[in-house]
Formats: sequence, C-alpha cells, structure tokens
Amino acid sequence: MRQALLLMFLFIAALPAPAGGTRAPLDSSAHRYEGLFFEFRVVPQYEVGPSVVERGEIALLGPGYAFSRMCVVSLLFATGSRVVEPSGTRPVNGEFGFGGARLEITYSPAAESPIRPFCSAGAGLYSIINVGGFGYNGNGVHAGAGVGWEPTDFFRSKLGIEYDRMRFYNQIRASGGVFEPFTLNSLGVSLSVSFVPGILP
Amino acid sequence: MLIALLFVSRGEGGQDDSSRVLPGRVALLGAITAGTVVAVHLYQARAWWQGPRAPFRFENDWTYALNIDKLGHAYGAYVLSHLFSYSMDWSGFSHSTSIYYGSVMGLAYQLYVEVEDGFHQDYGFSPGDAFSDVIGAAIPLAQERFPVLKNFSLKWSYYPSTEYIDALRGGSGRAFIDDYQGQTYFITMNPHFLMGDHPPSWIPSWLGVGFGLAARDLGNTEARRRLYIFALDYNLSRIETDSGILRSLFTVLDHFHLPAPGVVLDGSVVKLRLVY
Repeated sequence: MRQALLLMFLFIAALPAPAGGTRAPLDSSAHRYEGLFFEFRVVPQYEVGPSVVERGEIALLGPGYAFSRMCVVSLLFATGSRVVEPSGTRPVNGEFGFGGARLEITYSPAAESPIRPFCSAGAGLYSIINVGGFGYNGNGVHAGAGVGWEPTDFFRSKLGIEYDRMRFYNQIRASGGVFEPFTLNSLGVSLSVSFVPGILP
Repeated sequence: MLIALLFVSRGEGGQDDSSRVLPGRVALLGAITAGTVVAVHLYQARAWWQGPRAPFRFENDWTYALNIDKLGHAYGAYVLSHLFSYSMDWSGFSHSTSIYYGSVMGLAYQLYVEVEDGFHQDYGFSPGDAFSDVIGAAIPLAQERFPVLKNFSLKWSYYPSTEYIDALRGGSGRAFIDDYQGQTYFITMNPHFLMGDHPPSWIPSWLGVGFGLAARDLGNTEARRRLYIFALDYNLSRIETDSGILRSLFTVLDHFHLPAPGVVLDGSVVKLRLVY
C-alpha cells in the first residue's frame, strides 16, 4: 500500500497549477462543478465500544461524479489492515488485511466560499482476510462530516471524521468452528484529496 | 488491441470540439467493441477463471509479483482509455467527449475484470488492482487538463522470460500476460519541454528518456528482486509526416517502449545494455 500512497502523492504533486496559479473568484454556475473526479483518502480507524481495543488504517481511491456543487457521489475502493484484539464477543483476532468498496453520497451547502462543510453517507461491502487466507465477508454503513477546501478548480481537499458500522456475517473459508456474525464499529479521521479534470463531454 | 489502435488512431492530438457523429462508424465500432469484449472474456475465462468459483470477496495482494502486476493494471487502463478515446474520436465525437468517455469505459472494463476475479477462489477482488486501474484511467484526463503532462507516457516492453518459454515447452497453457518476469513498465519523458522554446538542434525531437521497472526470479522468495532501468526512448509521434497511416502507426508504437540503449540496476550491479 505504501507504494500506492507514494504514487498517488507524486501524481498529485506533479500536477502543475493552471495559468495564474489559482482560479479567479468562484463561479457559482452549476456546470462548472459537474462531472467526473477522482478522490484519494486516508483514514486511520479506531474501534469504538466497551473494553475493545482495535485499530486499522485504510486508504480509499475511486472515481466520483459531481451532480452539482452541492451533491457528489463516489465509488471508493478501500485497502488497508486491521488489528482485531481477542474479545469475548469476537470470534476472530489478529491482524487482517482489509478490503472493500463503498458507494458514498456527499452533500455540501452551496456557499460561495472555497471552504465549506460537508456531510456524507454511504454503504459498502467489505472483507477482512488474514495471511492464511481465512477471513470474513460483510457489509456496512458509513457516515461522515467535516470541512472541504477548494483552492483551485482542479483540486479539492476534505478533512473530516468518519463512522463505519460493519457487520461480518460470512466466513470466506470455513474455520471448522462455530461461526457467529460480529460487528465492528469504527471511528476515524479522514483526509482526502480530489483531482477534478474539469473536462465535460 | 494493436490492430484496433492502428485502425482508429488519428496520430495527432486534439481536434476541435465540433461534434459530427458518424452513425456508421459508431455502429461499426460498437460491434467491434462488443465482439472484442466477448472474445477477451472467453480468453480470460480459459486462461484465468477455470478454477472454482467462490463467494465474492476482496483480497489485498499489494506485494504480488513485486508490484509489476499493479503497473500492468495501470498501463492496461491507460491503454484501454486511449483506445476507447481514439475510437470515439474516429467516430466523430468531440475531442472532450472522446477523452472523457474513453477513460470512463477503460476504467469500467478493467473493473469488470476485477469483479469477475472477486468471484474466483484463486484471486478475489484486489483493491490494489482497482487503485491501479483508477490511476491508469485518470492519466489521459490529467493530460488533457494539464497539457504539460503529455510529455510523459506509460510504456511497456516485453521479452518472454526463460521460465515462460520453459513452461510453454512443457505444455503449459500459461498466458503471456502473466509472464511478469518478461515485462518492463516505463514512465517515459520527452525532455524537450524542459529546454525552453529553442532546444538544442543536435537532440532529435523524437528522442526521449524512460525510467523502467522489472522483476526477476519471482518464483524464488530468496532471489526475487526488482530491476530499475534508465533507457533512451522514442517519441515517434513527433516525427513529422504527411502520411496518415504512418501517423497512426507512430501513435500505436508510442504505447510501447522499443529497444534502445539503457542502464540496468540489478541489485547492486549496474549493467550497460545496448538494447533494452
């Protein structure tokens, strides 16, 4: 994953500023914000719950589509790792690879400022698999909120907090034991950057 | 893919944005695309997806083939996006429409393959592959948004590895696309844009440089290693010609790193290669 992060940051860093460095005063015309974009996000996660200590880190990358300056939809692919500590309520423990995909909708008020709050909601499919290929499939819901910053037409950044509730209900490979579904509740701090090509068909 | 690229590529960059869609060409390319997708699906089903199916799952494989596989996914999405873009351009769609939907379709196809992988016990949906697909499909859009990036390209070269040839001789039906030891992926650069408006005349306009990555001995966990290559490269599209066929051919060839002198860093050993 480190290589992917490095590649992504190099890619973003290589993007030259448009003529003039930054854009002119914000144009509120709707079409300016419509279209495809690509978002990259990192989220250190911590489990929330009584007497449970878990942590994870995930990176998300995927395309999105802005219907307007207020409403965008993203399809984000997730990769990372998760450490699950032994617990009386969990049938698993140890370090797992984490993967998934999430469909997310984000709303921001249509203020003229380059700094705007946002809130998001979504749903996704996830897997956690250990090095032996044993793991679980599940699904989950997502909620987030924070502040977005749009310094130029082609770049957006967001800082926020995220909550994910993931229910794992299906063994990927039978462990031979009795399996009981379990739930992970994750709270994380997210930092994202988006590249907006600004090319309309 | 080579033939398709040659068939539809214009050999030159953007055109005006006036849309003049030609229904006959759209129908022709639609049929070719549908046929190609079916044919490739059948090929992949035979090459990769013959194993047992399993419930859909995500599975990370970042270290697989020392990341050569990930570069391959990015390159595949990049080339497919170009192919779809050239196809739409040839069919008369506006340049921006072609670039836009070219990337969308290139990414969609790559993700379809990944979803199919997700249902097979031997693979799984790899988020890393999806990351690479997204990056590869985004590059043509970034190049359109920032033309200076057109001085950079992703290129691929291939020379069958000894292991692959031995496997073929042994009757293995292994696909060459899985021969990661024979593949090298390059980021190439046209250096002239760094030299201002009047680059030295002794540097041909078609001459470029490339930085490549390859892997060797992947079957041996002790000896597996990456190779780093710095080599000369050719930007054939910069050769001026009045021939449309040649321009198309050059555009196609510019997706590949053709043999050129280079330096290879293999572990702590530096090797000079007259041809890489």
